[in-house]
Formats: sequence, C-alpha cells, structure tokens
Amino acid sequence: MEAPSIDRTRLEALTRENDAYLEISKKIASDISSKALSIQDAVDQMGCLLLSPEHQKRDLGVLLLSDILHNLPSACLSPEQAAVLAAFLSEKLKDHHQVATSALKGVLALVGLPNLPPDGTVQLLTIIFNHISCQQQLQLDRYVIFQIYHSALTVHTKEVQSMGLDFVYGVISSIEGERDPKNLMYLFQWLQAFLQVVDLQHLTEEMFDVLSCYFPVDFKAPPTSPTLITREALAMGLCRCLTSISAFGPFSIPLALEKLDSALKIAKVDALHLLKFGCLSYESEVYYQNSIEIWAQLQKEIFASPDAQLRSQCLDTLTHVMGKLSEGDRKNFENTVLDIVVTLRGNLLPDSRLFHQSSSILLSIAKASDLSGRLVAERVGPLIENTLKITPDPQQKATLLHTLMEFFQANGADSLRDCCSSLCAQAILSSDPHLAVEGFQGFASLAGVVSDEARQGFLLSLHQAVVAPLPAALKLAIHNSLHKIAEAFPNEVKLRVLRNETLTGSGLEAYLAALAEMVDLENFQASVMETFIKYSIQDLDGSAAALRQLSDLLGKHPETVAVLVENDFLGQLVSFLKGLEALRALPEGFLRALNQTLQLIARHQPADWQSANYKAASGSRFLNENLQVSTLTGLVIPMTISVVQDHLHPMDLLLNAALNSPEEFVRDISLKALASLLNKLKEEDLNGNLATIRQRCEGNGKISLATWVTKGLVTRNHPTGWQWTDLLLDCLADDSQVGRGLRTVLDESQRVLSKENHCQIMPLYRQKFFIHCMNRLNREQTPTEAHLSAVGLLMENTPKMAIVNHFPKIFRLVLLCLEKSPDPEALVVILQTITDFVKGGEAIIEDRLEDILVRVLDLTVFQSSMVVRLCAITCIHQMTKTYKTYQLLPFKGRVVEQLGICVDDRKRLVRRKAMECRALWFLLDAPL
Amino acid sequence: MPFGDELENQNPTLYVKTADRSVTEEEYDDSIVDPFDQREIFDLIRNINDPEHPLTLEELHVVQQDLITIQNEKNYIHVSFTPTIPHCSMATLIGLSIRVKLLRCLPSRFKVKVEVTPGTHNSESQVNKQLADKERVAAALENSHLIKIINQCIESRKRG
Repeated sequence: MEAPSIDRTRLEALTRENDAYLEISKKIASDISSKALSIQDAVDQMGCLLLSPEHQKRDLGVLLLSDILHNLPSACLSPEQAAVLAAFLSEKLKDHHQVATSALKGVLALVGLPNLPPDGTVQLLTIIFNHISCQQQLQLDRYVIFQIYHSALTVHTKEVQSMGLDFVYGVISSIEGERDPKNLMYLFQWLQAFLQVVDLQHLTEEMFDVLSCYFPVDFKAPPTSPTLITREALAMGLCRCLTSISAFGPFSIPLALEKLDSALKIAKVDALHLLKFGCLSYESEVYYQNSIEIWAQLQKEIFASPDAQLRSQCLDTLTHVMGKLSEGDRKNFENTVLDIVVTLRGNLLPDSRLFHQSSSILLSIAKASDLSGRLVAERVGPLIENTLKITPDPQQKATLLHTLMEFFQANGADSLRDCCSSLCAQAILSSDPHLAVEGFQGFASLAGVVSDEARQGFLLSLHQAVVAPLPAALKLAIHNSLHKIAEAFPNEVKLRVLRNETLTGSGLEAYLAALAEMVDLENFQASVMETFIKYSIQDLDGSAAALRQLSDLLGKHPETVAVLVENDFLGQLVSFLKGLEALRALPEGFLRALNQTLQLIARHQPADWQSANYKAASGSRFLNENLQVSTLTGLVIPMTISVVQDHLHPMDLLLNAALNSPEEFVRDISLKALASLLNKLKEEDLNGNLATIRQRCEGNGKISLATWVTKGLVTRNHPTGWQWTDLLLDCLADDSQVGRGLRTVLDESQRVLSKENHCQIMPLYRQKFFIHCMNRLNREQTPTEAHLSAVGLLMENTPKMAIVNHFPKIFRLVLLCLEKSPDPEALVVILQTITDFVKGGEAIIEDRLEDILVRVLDLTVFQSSMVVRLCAITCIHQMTKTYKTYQLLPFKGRVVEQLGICVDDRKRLVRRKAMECRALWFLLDAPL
Repeated sequence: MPFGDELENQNPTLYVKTADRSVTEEEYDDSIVDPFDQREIFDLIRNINDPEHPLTLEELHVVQQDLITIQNEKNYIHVSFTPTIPHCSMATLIGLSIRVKLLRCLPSRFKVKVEVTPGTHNSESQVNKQLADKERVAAALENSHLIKIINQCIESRKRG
C-alpha cells in the first residue's frame, strides 16, 4: 500500500492564526497510529516547514510536530524514534524564541512517553534549564514548562533523580518570581510531590526562600475570575509546600512567628496554619527551640485579639504545637506545661479579666496529649475546686464548675473524677438554677466513670428533680442529662428515675414531659407510650396532662402513632371520655389537646380505619356534648375525601355546635370541621348542605360561619365560594369582624384546611380571592374605615407577587388606608409589606416614592400604637438603606424634622429606632 | 488617620463591650412612659469610632455608662469622657463627636454638656471651654475638613 502523502501546498499555506494545522495533525497522528504512515516519513514531508529559513514557518512546523506528538498514543514511538525526536526538539529549543516555545509543547508530549530513553529526558531538561529563561515567557508557556517538570518527575523519576541538584537548581531558577495565580496554584500542588521525591541538600534554604517570598499569600480574586482561585486555596497550597519536608522546619517557624506579630489578619491566619501543619512534618526539636517565642506570641493573641475566630485558631494551633512538643523529651515537655500553668493559674479567679482566656488556653494544652491533660488537671483541678468552694456567688460557681468539667473531659478523667463528682452533687442541690444546670450536665458526663454509689445518688436526685416544678432552662438540662444517662444505663434509669408512682397535678405533668423526651430511645418507647395510655384514661386531670404532652409528642415523633394504634388507644379513650359527666366544666386546654391528639392519630391512618373508628365514636353516647364535639371533630378534620363522600359526617351536630355552643373552643373547632367537610364533599351533596347552612346563617355567629364556609369553598375553587365571599363583603360596612374573616380565609397558619388533612387546596386560590375582594373594594367610591382596614388585613396572607402585580390597581386603597385607617393591625401589615418591597428593590415603590414616603412619615407619630410607629420608622430606615441619595435628598428636611418629634417618643424602642434613622438621614449627603 | 502619621497612643488598653440592652416587657407596653436613662444615652455614644484607632469609644473606655448624668425633669444631660492618655490631642475632636451625635439624636429640649472627666487630661479646662462654647462648636462644624472627620467617627454603619 502506498503511504498517504501530506499535501505540501496545504502545509505551506498554513498560518498560526487559523486552526487548520490542528486538523492536519490529527490526520497525521491517526495515520501514524494506524501504521499507514511512519513518523520518519511524516517528519520528512514536513521538512518544507521544519527546515524553512523563515522562523515563522519553522515555528509552524514545530507546532504541527508537537501537536502530532500530543495526539499519538504513547506506544507508537520506539525508544530510538523518541531519542531522535528528543535530539531534534533539543535543537529547536535553542532556535528562535517563537520556535522554542512551540518546541516546549512537543517536549511536554515527549517527556510523558515512558519510551523516551534516559539520556533524552536529561538532555531535554538540561537544554530547558540552560536555554529557556522561564521568567521571560508568557504565562501559558511557563505553565507548559512546569508541566514538563511535573511529567518528567512522574514518568522518569529515576532519570530525574540522577540529575541530582542540577534538576533542583533548574526548578528553583524557573519558578522563582512566578506571579500568576493559576501557575502558582499548579506549582504549589506539584511542589508537594517534588519535595518528597528529590533531595534538596544545600539548596534547602534557596528552595525555602523561593517559596517563602509568597508568605503570607496576599491575593484578591477578581470578582469575575473564571479560574475560581481563592486566597485560601493559594495559602493552603503554599502552607502544604512549606510543611511537606522536615528540613524546612528551622526556617518556617521563625517566619511564622515574624508574620504572627504582624498587624495583618491574613498574615496571622497563615502563620497559625504554618505552625499547625508544621506539626505533621517538622521535628519536635525545632518547636522546642522556638517554644518560648511561640508561647509568647500565641498568648498575646489570645489575650488581646478582639477577633473571636482568630483566638479560636490560636487555641487550636496551641493544642497542635503542645501535642508536637509532647513527642520530644518528656522532662522538657513537663517543664513547659508547668511553666504555662504557673503563669496562668493566677488568672483562674472568676472575677479576673483574663479568666476565660486563661482557662481556654489551659484547656487547649490539656487536650494536646494524655500527659498534658493529666499535668494540667493535677495542677488546675484543685485550684478551681478550692476557688469554687470559697466563692459565694452561685453564678461564678457555675462558671467554675463548667470550666472544671471541661478539664475533666479533656484527658483529666482520673485525677478530677472525684472532685467533679462531689462538686456536681453539691451543685445539683443548689437553689441557683445556673449552678444546678451545670451540676446536672456535669453529672451526665460523669455517669460512666463514677462509682455505682455516686451514680445511684445522682439518679435519686434526678428522680426528685424530674417531678419538681423548676425553671425551663433547668428542666431542659435535666431532660438532656436523663436522656444521656438513659442511653448508657437504661435499666437503672427505669428502676430509679422512672419508677411508677401515683402522681397528680404539676408533678404528673413534669413527669410526663420527662418521659416524652425519652420516646426516641428504643428501650423506652414501649413503656413510655404505655404510661401515656394509662394516664390518658385514668381520670380527668391525668388525661388532661397526658393528652397535652401526647399531642406535642406525636407532632415531634409521628412514628409513635403506630404504637397507639396497635394498643387500640382510641377505643380505650372514647370509652373513658363518654363516661365523663354531662355538666362538668372541662378546661379548654384539655379539649384542645384531645382534639389535636386525635387529629394527629387519624391523619395517617387508612380510610377503613378512619371510617370504622368514626362510626364507633359517633355511635357512642357521650354524656358531655363538648367532649363529643371535640372528639368527633378530631376524627372528622383529617378524614380522607372518600370517607367524607361516603356520608360519614355529622353536619347537623357541627352546625348546631358552631352556632349555639357556649364554649368558644367548641364553636371554633366545629366551624373548622364544617369547612373541612365542605371542602371534601361531593358536588351533589354540597348544594343541599350549603342551602341548609345559608338558611341558618344569621345572628351573632353569621360572620364566623360565613368565613369558614367561604374558606372551605374558596380553597377548592368552588364557584359558590364567590357568592359567599360577596355575602361577607356585603356585611363589611356593618360589621368590623368581616375584615378579620377575610384574613382568616387566606390564613394557612392554622393548618386545619391543609393537604396533610386531605383537603382540596387548589393552586393560586389566595391570589384569586385577593383579586376578587380588591376589585369589589375598589368599586367603593367612599370607602369606610372597615373597607380600608380590610385592604391591609387581606394583604397579610396574600403572596407578595400577587400584590406586586396588582399594586397599581390597589395603590389608591393602600394610600387611603395609610392616610385614614385607625386600625393598627391593618397599618402594620401594609407598612411591613412596603418595607419588604423596598428591601427587595421593587420598582412599584420606587416609582411612587414621594406618595408613599410622606404618608409613612405621618405614621411615625401614630398615637394609638407603638408598633405602627416602629414599623413606619423601620420602613423609612429601609428606604434610606435602599435608595440612592439623590432620590432621598428632596425629603431630607421633612424627614429630619418629623423624626425630631419621634426621638422624643414616650417609648424607648421607638426613640432608639428614630435616633438611628435620623442619624442616617443627617449623613445622607454629608462629606465622609 | 486624621492628623499626622504617628499614633499618639500606640498600644491602648482594650475593654470588653457590654451586651445589647435586653428589652423588658414594660418597653412593649404602649401605655407606660419610658423615661430617658443613662444606658440610653450610653447606647447612643458607645459606638462612636475613635479618630485614631479602628475601635469604639466603649472599647477604649473613653465613654462609660457611669459617667453619664441625666435629669429628665430638668432636661439636662451631662456626659464625661476620659481620653486614653492625658496629652491626647484628639480630646476636643472626641468631645465634638459626642456632642454632634447627641445633638442629632436627642430631642431639642435637652441641654447637653460634654466634658473631660476631671483629672484625666492635661488641658482639661481648655477642652471643656471649647466644647461648652456654642459659637466655637458651630464654627468648628462649618469647617468642612473637621465635619468630615466627625461624620466618619459617628457613622455607625454604612448605608446599603
């Protein structure tokens, strides 16, 4: 077969500017790899370019050859061919500088070939070191040179190592003065491997100097940087390089100390990293030699720096450095630790200004190693213990105990165990809640290491504390301790703390609250739920306490519902409830908890369960009607649509209760259940029911009933919903409650009509309702106060986008509301909405700035509500922050004058906000 | 730095900032009148920046709550401030910053007097005299260079 030839005229027509050479190189490379063309023939045919007297042609030839080498599979070239090409490219490296840079690309491809003979690698690297001045090349060419070094070291490690210090020197000369962040990022990554492989010998200091000139890295990435190189990444790369070999240690530590003393935060941060990561590779001797200086610098930073993040980094570094020192001579280390302890122990008095800093330093040292932990605990423990004993202030005692427990947890287990145990035991008995909290928390950490006797004593205290009436923070600490100990000692906790007792009143409530916290522990779940069931059906007080806790518990741990269902909790509860006397007054909290618990249980049950249990409950004869309504509504509200549509609903009972019950809760929950039913009923059943409701919709309960009927219908987008909405709006002028009703329709916070309760919630129903109401309100030529406050109340729960889109239409009403409405609730909603829009930079406000600002300004002195005054000032404050000076300046005099009245407001909160805002307006156009 | 290149007090002692004032239930009750108190005045001036250091007057203990006197019924407020060093040339500037801040934030009914804490500055009477002289204060505020520095000191946060 005849070898394919390269079109000479095409070759000669090539230019650097177009990419045609890329296609040619691909074609030649594929011909060579398929053995259709030999590399010799290819080079021979490219002779017109490679040997041209014009350097541009030679450059193009070398570029083409380099590209061919890049595209060739590594096995295609024999060692002899590679050697010839290496010799050729070596010559080209000495050629015109443009040709040399193209040759570098070929060299990169060549050094990546394992077939390249050892001499070839050395020859190429030597020529680069001697003839290519890296600093004079463009960024991309320098990048290629660094890639050549990287590739040579990876593929031909032995050959490169045989070059000895020549290679090291060459690399140092090339990288010196590199400033491009992309190249530096690459170098910092590669140099870590380079330093591990080569022996720097007497060039160690030179190498360190070349690297340390970048320390600390001061680089600000341009905001649109495509490479996403950050200062942190560069600093970390450099730090890894500087800490990759132990030989850098004697140079690095003094450098870090010098930079730690600087005023620049980045210098301090980088220095701390260097000290910390150096611990991984440097000799401990180096740290020991500099230990006094390191300690002095770190102590100064921790004591004086106002930056909490920097202080915490210093403490972390201190732990690592002390850990490193502990690897060295034991005696020296002991002396160092003891010196520090002696220096700081004077500060360990709770009213000392440096107490927290000193204790955190000692804590960091204690964490460094077992020995340091023991040494610090032995010296500091007794000191804190004595101070704690003689300190009269319980707050300070709490701080000291907390600190002591931290030392105990930091390796000082044995020496501090007994004193911590006795101090925690005393703290638990303290009447001061802060100290008692520390005591309980401390003992929970100690439980595994103290003697059985001490633990039993603690469990007894816990047993008493669990049922005692205590402040919330202390209760929380007790529950956390109980949970922690129950994980480790479940049987002891069951036996000693949670043993069954006859409890009543607040003791029972507290006991059940503690039990509820244990329900997520596998060992406790069954017994906890059993106890809840027992108390729920025992007597009215017990049931009230148990249901209150149970409704919280089921909300937090829905998985526990299954346990209740398995035990037929509902059946037992209904049997108990139906027997309660008819005339007995039941607390609202009990009815609410009962209803909530039933909703939570029924919500996740299948339709047949819901149907069967509803039938059972509705078939039971309750003596107390309030209980019956609360129970049935608890089952009706979460009913699935299929169960409702099977005619299982107590419509008459609910309607009666909603209109006639003397109990507010019963009326309210009946209305909600009614709305839930109307939302789920079949079309043919709905009209009949609505007709009945319409007939009875009058008198005192008319507005509430119409509100919830509207809500039930509007959420499912039923056409009759608009008739009911109009009914509400027609009453607006006569009844001030209508505005609140309209707000309730849009309010989703109560979650009664929700997808969780299987209701039909159509998308955009709130937007449609808002627009319908606003269109009606807009038709009013002379809106009354009730109309204006309805505008605000409707806006409260409407999605902000809907308001933005319809703002031009409702703008007149909004302004009238701001001007004339005396209703603080409506005004607060409008002011907060405007503030949100201002914050979000909505053009609807910016375009009408004057109209809005002057009206908001008038509300800064709204007499009847401080919340309105606060919201108005907040709104103006937000405008100051959002809008440009030229937009605000026309109003400056007026705003400053008006806020001058607000700064003398009778309420401090209003004054504070007004003062802040007024100061901003003064500075609006002031020279700064 | 406003004047010169060298810091007068190169190593000032730093103090811990007090926590933000907690809001009481009474403060939310619109029917109760909250009188102006020491802490309220202190909150106004504690965040003024020191002209020399990037620190607040509170952190340097230049202003302290205890050194503020307020008489609501007499509409009178007296603020004493303590320069960090007795020969501090910034004392007048700090005093002016406090005065201007209070002038802008307090109701006009209050008469505000700002003075150096007795015995804490070499030219105490001179500084007090300057700060008490309305004409001189007004003249100082006409000086564009001076008002720029004062604004920088009392600017608590930048506009968004």
